[in-house]
Amino acid sequence: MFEELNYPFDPELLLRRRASLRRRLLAQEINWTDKRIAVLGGATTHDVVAYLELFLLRNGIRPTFYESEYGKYWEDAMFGNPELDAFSPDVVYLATGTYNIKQFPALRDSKDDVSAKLDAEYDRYEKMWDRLREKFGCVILQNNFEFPSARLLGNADGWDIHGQTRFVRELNIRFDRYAEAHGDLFINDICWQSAACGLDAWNSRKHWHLYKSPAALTLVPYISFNAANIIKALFGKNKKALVLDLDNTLWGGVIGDDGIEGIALGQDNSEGQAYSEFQRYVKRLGEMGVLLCVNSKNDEENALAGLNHPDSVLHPDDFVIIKANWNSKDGNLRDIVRTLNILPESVVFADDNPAEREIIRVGMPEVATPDLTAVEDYVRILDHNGYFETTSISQDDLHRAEMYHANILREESQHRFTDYTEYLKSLDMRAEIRRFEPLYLPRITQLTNKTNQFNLTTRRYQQQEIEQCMQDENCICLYGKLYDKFGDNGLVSVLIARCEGDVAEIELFLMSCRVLKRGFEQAMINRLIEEAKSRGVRRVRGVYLPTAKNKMVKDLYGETGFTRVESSEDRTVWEADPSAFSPLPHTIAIED
Amino acid sequence: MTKEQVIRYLSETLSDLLDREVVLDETTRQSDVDGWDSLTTMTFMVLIENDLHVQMSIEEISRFENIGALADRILGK
Repeated sequence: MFEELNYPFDPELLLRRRASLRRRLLAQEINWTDKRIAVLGGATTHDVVAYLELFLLRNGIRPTFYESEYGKYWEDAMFGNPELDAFSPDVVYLATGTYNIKQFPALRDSKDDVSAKLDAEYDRYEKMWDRLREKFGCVILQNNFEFPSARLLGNADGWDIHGQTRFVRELNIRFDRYAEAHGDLFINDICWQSAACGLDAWNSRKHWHLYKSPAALTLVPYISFNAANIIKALFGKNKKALVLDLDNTLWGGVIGDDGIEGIALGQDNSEGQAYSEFQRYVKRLGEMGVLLCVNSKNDEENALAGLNHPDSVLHPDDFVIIKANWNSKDGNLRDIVRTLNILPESVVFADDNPAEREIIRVGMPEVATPDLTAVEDYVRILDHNGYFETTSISQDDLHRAEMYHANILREESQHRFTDYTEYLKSLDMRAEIRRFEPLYLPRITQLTNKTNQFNLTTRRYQQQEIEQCMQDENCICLYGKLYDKFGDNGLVSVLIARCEGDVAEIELFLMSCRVLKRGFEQAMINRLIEEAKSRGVRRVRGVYLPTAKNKMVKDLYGETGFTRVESSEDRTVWEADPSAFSPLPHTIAIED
Repeated sequence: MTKEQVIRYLSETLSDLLDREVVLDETTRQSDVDGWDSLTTMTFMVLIENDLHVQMSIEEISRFENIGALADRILGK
C-alpha cells in the first residue's frame, strides 16, 4: 500500500498527488501513534512539513505540527512564544541550512578570525539546543549543512580555511560531535542527502529566489523523508526483520536447475560480484540486529547447499529462520511472523520476482516490499528506504540474532516436556531485577517506545523522562534482565511505579515478547511489592489501559493477586496490599 | 498543443493539487479559485515546467494576469 512513498519515489507524482495521498493515508483505520512536532525553519517550510506528514502517516505516526513563521527559528527556539509553549512538542525540528549561515570567512581573515566565525556560528545552534532541551525536554532534530553550489576557490574551497566548503564541513563535524555526546539530538544529514540527489539540482537557485525553498521543489520530499525516518525510528516504528528470497536475490540463477556450480556468486564474474556485494550488505544488517530469514521456493537441501557455497558471505547460521519449501510465500511469511512473535508491519520482504511481491502486497499489505529489479540496485534500494534507521545501537541490537536463535531452541526443547513447569525448570533461569542504572537508559527508552503487546499502559518516554524518573525519589524504577541455559535474553522488562502518600501506582509495566510465559512478570511484581513494603506503601495500584495490541495483559493483575477496584471501557484499576501479599511462585533464581 | 489543450492540462493539474474538481478558463485568475495560494503556485509551476518541457523565467512565474496569459506564455506567445 502507498507504494508511491517507497524509495525511489517519483517526486513529481508526490507533488501532484500530495493532497489525495494525505486524504487516503488518514482514512486508514489503524492504531495511530499521535505526535506533536514543532518545525522551526530557516527557509520556507510549508512543503517540508507537508511531505513530512505523508511519510510519518505512512509509518503509522499521525503528527500535528507547529510551524514557525518564515525564518523565525532562532526567535522561537530562544524566546519561545505562547503558541509554541502551549504546543509542548514531542519533537522540535530545526529545519535550517547553509542559507542561514550569517558569516562566512573573508579572504583576508586570519586563522583566528576564521576560528572566531566558526565558533560564533556554531554557538548559536548549541544555545538553541540547550534552551530547547531545558524548556521542552523533547527530542531535537537538526538539519546539518549542504555544500554551497559555488566554489570560489575551486578545489581549494574544500581545504583552505577561507573556503565556504571547508567552513560547512567544519560546522557539520561540530554538529556531529554534539550529537555523539547527547542522546536526544539527531542530525538530519542534508549534506549526504543533497550529495545523493546531486548538489546542483539540489541547490536550485531559481526555487531559492522565487520561493526561498530550502532545495529544489522536486527534491524537498527527500528532506522530509530523511527526517521522517529518524522520527519513526525514535518512536519504535523501525522494521525488525528482513525476509529474503534466494534464487536471483542472494545469488544469480536457480540453484535447483543450475546446480551449485551453476549459480552466480563470488569474484569470478561481474554478476557474481554484484550478488556478493549484496550479501555483504545483508550480513552487516544482521550484525546490526536485523533478524534475517529465508523464504524461498526450493528444496531445503538445495537452499542450504547454496548458503554453504564456498563464496557465500551469508551462511545458514546467519538466519534466524530458513523456510525453503514449496508452500506459498505468504503462508511461509505468516509462519515466520508468528514464530518471531513480531507484527507484519515490522517486516521487509526482499524478492526479485514481481509476482511473489504482488502476492505479499495483496495478502499482507503491512509488509514492506521494495521493488528489487536489478541486482546492482538491491543495496541502494534497501538502504535508502531507511527501514532500519539507527538512532542508537544497544548491546541488545548487536546480539539480537543470537537471542532469537536461542528462543527457537527453547521452543524445540519445550516440545519434549508435557509439563510446562518442568520445562520452565529445565531452562535454569536466572534474573537480575534492579533499580535503573544510567548505562541502561537508552535500552529502557527503546523498550518503552516499541513494546506494544505486554504493555499495561503503553506510555512512551523520552530518555530524559526516564532519567527524571530514575532520579525521582518517589519513583520505584525497576529493570529486569533474564538469563537461561540457552543464553542471555538481555534487558526485557521495565516497571515504573510512582509513590504518593501510601499509594504506589504502576505507571509503566512492560515486557519484551521474547520472554512471555516464563514467570518473569511474577518475579517483577514480587520485587515491586517488596520495594513498596519497605517504603511503607499500603496500596499498590495497577492500571490497565486497553489498546488494539495489549489484550494479552488485560487480566494480568487479576492473575497475580490484585483485586479489581474500578472497571470501565477505557481502563481497569487493580489494587494489592503489600503487607497481605504472598510472593507469587515462579522458577527463576533472582540474583542480588 | 493548442491553447484549449493547455488550459485542459492546467485544469487537471490544479484539480490534482487541490484534490477537487477545478475548471479553468481563459479569464480565471488565481484569486477566483478557492484554496489556490502562493504555495500551490510553486508546485503548479514546477509541474508545468516538467510536464510540458517549458522553462519560465523567474519574472514570468512571479506575475501572470490570468489563465489565458499563462497559457500564452507556455505556448511561447
